[in-house]
This record gives sequence, structure tokens and C-alpha cells, in this order.
Amino acid sequence: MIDIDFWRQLDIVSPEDLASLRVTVIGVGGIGSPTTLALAKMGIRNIIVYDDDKVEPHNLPNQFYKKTDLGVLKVCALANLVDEFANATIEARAERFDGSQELSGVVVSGVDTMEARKLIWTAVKFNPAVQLYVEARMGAEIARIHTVQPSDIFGVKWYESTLYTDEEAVQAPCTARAIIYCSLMIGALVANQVKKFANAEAWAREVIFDMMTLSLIVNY
Amino acid sequence: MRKFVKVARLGDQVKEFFVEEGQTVGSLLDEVGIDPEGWDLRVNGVPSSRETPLEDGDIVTLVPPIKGGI
Repeated sequence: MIDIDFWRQLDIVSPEDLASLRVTVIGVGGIGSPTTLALAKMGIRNIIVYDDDKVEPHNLPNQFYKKTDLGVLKVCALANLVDEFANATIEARAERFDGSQELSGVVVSGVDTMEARKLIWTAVKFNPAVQLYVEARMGAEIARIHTVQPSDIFGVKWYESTLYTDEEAVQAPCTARAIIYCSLMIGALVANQVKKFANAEAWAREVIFDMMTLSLIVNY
Repeated sequence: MRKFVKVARLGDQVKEFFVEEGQTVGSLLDEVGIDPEGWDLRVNGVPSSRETPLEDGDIVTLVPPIKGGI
């Protein structure tokens, strides 16, 4: 393994600021794959990823996988990509998060149903080992990113007000659910929230953006 | 005095309107035929309701309840 030189970002965030961070990414599809890559390239070296899916042809346009990854477990393909692109090792867990796994540090949710989000939230809420929870949702060209400290009662109350059921959610047609520039934007914004947390900067509890209307809403 | 406001329906388009004094988010949406049922309403990014009065320069945003991650 070679040494990476983080000189160009030292005054933005340094590897020392990130050294103590442990980040768990649940779901490594359109949200989780670019997010994991951004976190690793930024310098985070303690990353665990959960997903039991394999890379399929329809994943190639909007997720960070390549054609030779087809048929491979996403977490394994991502581990190879992270090694190649960021010279880092991640812990790949080829399993679906079911609430029984222990979580700690920063938890990033990149799952695709509200039911799965609620399951993760149950494991995260008031969990003293979890410092920060970053939860992203994507639909066509729209993204919502929620960031909360699970021990903060006001944050917990606010976050729970953002939850709805899968039935209440708008279900975009299969052919209008994801696009690469939206995935990349989410990866960038989630990594930025984690960087802000590591640097003790003010992070936004809510970021909403829409590439269709080029709207951006940020609430602290 | 008429006021100039924008309505951004995320995932769709942004439209511009002139509204009358005293008009609210709800009355404008009714007038232009937008049903916000189930969507978050924001005025200048701040969570709002149908009763929120409109001011000159306001941007009303309708945020859909999305759930994807794939």
C-alpha cells in the first residue's frame, strides 16, 4: 500500500481530523456507493458497508460500479473500487442490515424504502454509541439528506417528523428513479456533512435539492 | 400592491405569479390548480402551511415525499 498525500485538502479537512471516525454505510447503491467512495477518498479509514445485493446491468448507469463488477456482491465490488481509487480498505459485510448488528460512530443510511429507514432508525435512536446519523433519500432528480445526533431529543423529534410510510411516499416510475449526477451530488453532500461533523463545524440537519428545478433548501 | 412569487414544484418546474395582498400559500395553490396533499410546503425553505401569507419575492416550494436509494 502506498502513502497518499492529502496536501491539497489539509486546510479543509485533514486525515488526523478523520482518524477517530468510524463510519457505517447501510446500502451501497445509488446513494451508498458514491458516498463510500467520497468518504474513503476524503481520508476516512474505518468504514463498514452493508448490502446483500449484487451488481446488475441496470446499476451501471447510476451507481459507482463498472462492467466487470456485474454479478459481484456490491460490497465486494465497492471494496475493490475503494482500494483502487482511495488506496483504502473497507469492511465489506454481504448482508442486509436487520437491526441485530451493532452500530457505532457515524451511520449513513442509503437504503431504498421507508421501512428499511425505520428499521435503521430503531437501531440508531438514543443509541449512545452512534454519534451522528445521516440519512439520504433519492427520487428521480430530487434528494433529501437528513442529519441528526441520535442522542439529541430535539433532533430525534424533528427527524421522526420527516418519516412517512412507503405507501405515503411518491413512487417514481421504474424508468425515472435515479440518475448519476444526483447520486454524485448526494455522495458529495453526505461526505460534506461528515467532514463538518469531524471538524466540529455547523452541519445542516436538512438539505433538499432538485436538479430539475435547480432548487436548494438548507436548514440548520 | 401586487406581489411577485415563485412556486417550485420539485421534480417538475418553477412558475412565477403575481398575487394580491392577503393571499396565502393555500389560496395561490388552489388558484393555479396545484394539490399539495402529502407534500411538504416550504416558503423560502422554511416549513410552512396553506395559511402562510405570501410576501413579495417569496419562493414557495413543494417537496415530494421521496423514498428511493437505488
